[in-house]
Amino acid sequence: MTTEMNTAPSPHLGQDAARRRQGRQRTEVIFQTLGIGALVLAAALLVWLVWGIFDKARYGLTQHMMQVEVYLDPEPFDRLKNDDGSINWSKRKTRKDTFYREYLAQSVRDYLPDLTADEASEAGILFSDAAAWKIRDGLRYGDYQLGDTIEIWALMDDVVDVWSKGVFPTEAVVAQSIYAPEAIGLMQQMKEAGALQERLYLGFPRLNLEIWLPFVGLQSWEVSKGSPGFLTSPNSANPEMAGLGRAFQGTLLMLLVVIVVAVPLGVAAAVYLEEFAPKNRFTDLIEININNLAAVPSIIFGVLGLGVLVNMLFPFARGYPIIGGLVLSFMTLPTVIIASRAAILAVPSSYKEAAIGMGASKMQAVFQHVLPAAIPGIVSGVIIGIAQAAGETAPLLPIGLKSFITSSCEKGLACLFEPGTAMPAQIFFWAENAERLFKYKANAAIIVLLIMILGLNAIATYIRWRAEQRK
Amino acid sequence: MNSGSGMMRIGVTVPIISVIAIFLVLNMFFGAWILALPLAAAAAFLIFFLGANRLTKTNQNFDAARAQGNNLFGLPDLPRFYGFLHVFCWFIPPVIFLVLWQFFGNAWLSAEFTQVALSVMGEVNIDYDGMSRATGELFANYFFGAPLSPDVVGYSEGFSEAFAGKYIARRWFWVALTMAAAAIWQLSPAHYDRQSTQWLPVISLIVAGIALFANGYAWLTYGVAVVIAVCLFNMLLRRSAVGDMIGKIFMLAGGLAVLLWIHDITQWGNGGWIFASLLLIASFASMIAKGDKPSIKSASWILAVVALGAFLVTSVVSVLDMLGWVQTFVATDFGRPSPGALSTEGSRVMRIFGEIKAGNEITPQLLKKARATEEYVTAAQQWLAVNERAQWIVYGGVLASLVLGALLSVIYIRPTSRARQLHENAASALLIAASALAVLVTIGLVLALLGQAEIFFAKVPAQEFFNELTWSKGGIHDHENGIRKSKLGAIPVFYGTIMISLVALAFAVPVGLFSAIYMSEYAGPRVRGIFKPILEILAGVPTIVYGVFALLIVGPVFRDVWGAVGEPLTGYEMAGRSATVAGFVMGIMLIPFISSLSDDALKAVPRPLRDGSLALGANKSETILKVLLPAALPGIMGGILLATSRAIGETMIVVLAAGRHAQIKANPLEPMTTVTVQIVEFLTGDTAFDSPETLSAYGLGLVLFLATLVLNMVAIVIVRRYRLKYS
Repeated sequence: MTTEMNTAPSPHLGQDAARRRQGRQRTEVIFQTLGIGALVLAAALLVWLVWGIFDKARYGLTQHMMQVEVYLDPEPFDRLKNDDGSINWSKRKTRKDTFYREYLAQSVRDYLPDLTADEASEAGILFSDAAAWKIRDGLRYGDYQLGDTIEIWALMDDVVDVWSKGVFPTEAVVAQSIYAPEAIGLMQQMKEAGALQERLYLGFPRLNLEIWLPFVGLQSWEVSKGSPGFLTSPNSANPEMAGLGRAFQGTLLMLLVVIVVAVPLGVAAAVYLEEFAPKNRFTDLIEININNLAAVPSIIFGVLGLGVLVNMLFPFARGYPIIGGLVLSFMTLPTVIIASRAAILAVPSSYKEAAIGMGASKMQAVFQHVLPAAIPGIVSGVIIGIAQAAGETAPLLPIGLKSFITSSCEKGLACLFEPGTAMPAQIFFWAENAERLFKYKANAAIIVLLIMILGLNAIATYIRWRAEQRK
Repeated sequence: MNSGSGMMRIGVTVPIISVIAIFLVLNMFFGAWILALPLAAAAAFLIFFLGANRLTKTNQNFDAARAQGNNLFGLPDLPRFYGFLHVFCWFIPPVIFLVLWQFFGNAWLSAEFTQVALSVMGEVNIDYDGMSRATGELFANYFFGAPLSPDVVGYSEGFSEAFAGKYIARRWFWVALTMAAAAIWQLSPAHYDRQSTQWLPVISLIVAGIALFANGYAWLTYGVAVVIAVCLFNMLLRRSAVGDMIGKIFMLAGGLAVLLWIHDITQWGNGGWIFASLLLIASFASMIAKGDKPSIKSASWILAVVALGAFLVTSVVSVLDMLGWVQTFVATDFGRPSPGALSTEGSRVMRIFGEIKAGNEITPQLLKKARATEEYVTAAQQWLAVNERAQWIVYGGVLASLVLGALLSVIYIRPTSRARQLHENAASALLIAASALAVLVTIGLVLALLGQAEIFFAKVPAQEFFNELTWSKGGIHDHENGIRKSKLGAIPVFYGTIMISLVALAFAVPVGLFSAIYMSEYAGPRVRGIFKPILEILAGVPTIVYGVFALLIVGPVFRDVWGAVGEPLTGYEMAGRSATVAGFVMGIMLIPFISSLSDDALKAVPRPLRDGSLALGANKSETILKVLLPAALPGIMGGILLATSRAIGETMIVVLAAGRHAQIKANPLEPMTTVTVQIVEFLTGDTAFDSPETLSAYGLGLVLFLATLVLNMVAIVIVRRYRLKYS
């Protein structure tokens, strides 16, 4: 009997055990693979997202232009002059774009001398309205004089642009009969002759110091008065002219409101809840409330904005950035409170105790010792909240911050009280638009938005990291 | 701090900053720098001379005080607190005025403009005064069966329907709330300690004002009766002197008399406001002249309080009047011209107005061009007059608020005032107010949703909304009446929401969970260093970006892939916008969320559980599957619930990628719509804002709010309990 027991195979040896062990090891490997696979998948999705957006965005940041030499022939203006020889701008003809397209067409004819008559007559429509208006405004405001020969980069029409970028095939241009066949032929000739050049079209803002210097200057926001381009122009019905300037301004204004409203209120609430609040039902209620508010869908805040701020309180203020800013503030408030509370909690209680021991009042101890020590944490939390607010779209739609606004606003903070728009809303409406160039511009705008938001997040991370290093 | 810096701080820095700030505020909002300059100069004068003069008139010897290391004011060095008082006294009143003006003044202007535009439309003749009077009588009739005077009978038809609902309920609510607050305050134990009875007249006046605002003298009587009853009750409880009580009642009666008088002579217009402010200033001035301290015994103080009450009530009423709330709701219900017609007239008036303002002559040619008549010119001139008046109100208001600031600073900034206590009390009041604001936001949210949803459910029965299978905006033909109708049964919308959320969770939960497991159990610092930022970036990407990604990038790729692989096999086509794409991209958005919550849950499992399992010979995967996951399951479930609540509330991805077509299909390749999409569509659409379609957005919003609320509450409770279990 004893021998039997001794010779009985150990459960940890033998083929069965080996198979079992193999099985267990296989499970382990599969499990690990699944884990790393999930992470790699997440990374791959991020790469796909970024790559996909960049891939389309590059078409939105550039624009095809032609460097044209325009002779500003005085002759067509002969009948359109006042008695004193200046141009009569009240005539309809002098204000329409078609009149100036003729000048552009002439320069194309000079550039490509062997065009057929039909092709030559179509040259004007290949240019954007912006090019025609540039000549008109130059003449009107005295930058150009009749009889001059000027050299300008003329913006091309959006169809020419997407066609030259190779994302809109010729067949589609033909099939949708956007242009006459001659115009399509001309377009191809221009492309072959190298007349169409793809250039970055960003524009840069000009800050007008004359107006900025004295106090009065706060009224001025001169972004759009710089060179027009994607970053400075307001929205437009013509995709090639549409820019992000106004939306960018709107987002900045709303973030300003968030900083002014949500940050002090949030930090104050956090200080109270963390340092002063007695444990009672009221503070419990506030706490539950804040936790819930943090998880309320953002669209509901939009409904709140519409129902209370717009419909009940300020019915005239639909679409004002101030309302958008307030709604975003309500939305950011819980984030700021939660982050600030965590930061205040992390300050060792010895700071406060020492201050109180030295005779400071509780208020002094908190504001002069605890709060300064918590500032890195609060600031990084606040920045994350602001980044979140910058990208939020849903609450802005019901309160009307989506209007199609083609003018720029140059009144500084007073633009808070004028119908406006914001970057995410602009992206939304461009993405939904059927025009191709608008879709590319939506992607380009996303790049701007992402740079802003990820930049803010990076700053927050850096602040947190530095604070940790100091400890 | 030495005395020099202390002096600098109170004596110069804060006032200068205040003056500059006032100046800037004026400038930014109004561009009125020509006005702002003298005002700022006046403010500077008041601050430096009046304030400093007051403060230096102390019993202490000036030089001796400085020699002792005290500051300019002969006070122990407390600059911070006095700085606060300075800012409070000088800066707050103008700012409050300007902010109020920015909102209410503009509202008043727009109401005035409506009047001007209305005046051009000859055929519409609205008797606002008559309506206002009628409303009071109709209220009384509605509640107490009071007889109507003959000229009001004509209005009663439209009335009952219009007022049966929200207006009356709201007015009752506010009046009841104020009265209850007054009563609670009077009866609360804290009240005895603080001797706050001196505020009773103010409360009574506010109550009376609200009662008055809520129409008619009858209501005023009820309000006063309640206040007197409370006072009597209070007197019984406190056994206070009868003389005291009688004094209070007299004071109350005096205040009411003043109020009524102001009401009668001014019709609550700006005249009343100006009168009340004059009274206020006069009484404060006499108080200061006599050197009275705020006390219930001081006659001028009582006068000041009464005037302050009158001031407040008149301001509130005139602001409400400016807003058109006192009258407009009546006008709406008795047939007001459409906004469209108004804006046409308005734009013509504005055009003429612009010409007049530019100093151009109004020629018949110009009138013809603007399609206007002489009446428009009159209207434009009226509007010009209104604008000028508005300008003077702003100037006067800023001046008055600066004077108020001066008075406040003279009252409060004095050597005997207990600056630090004042400062700390004010600061803690501000802190409490800030944290109560979060509650206020929630209340606003619930009120906004409930109020509108109530109107919605009055138009579309809940039975239809929660029970019917058709959601169609203007898609149903009503052959009998020859119109198109909407059918608002929300089941398909709920179905779409749930479907898309399920797709999202089906993708996000495994990926998020596995990445959390790998990150917390297997990954070394290097792998963590790579993947943690990636997950953080995914979490930081705004949802609009995911939406565009879904619409422009994922959608086409999925359709191509499905067209090549899935379609030949199954025969189903993938729609341009589909639940799959929206769900998938929403899943990407949820990955970091689920991952971080699961990570927290896994980390919260105590070390001994893990060590015990490993010590018994289990390998890592077995430990995770059989020990860690079951232990962390509540936490993970909580995380998944939170993710679900986020998925059903997610808007931009579904608006862009899920489509607008409400249908119940088992196939996720079909387009589906969600609650959030419908809210966006109806609230941004061009339907009238009281149509059932627009209102349905509030119904949907309410459902969404409640659903997320329940999910969050459950999740928070689960997570908390789980944490308690292990801590």
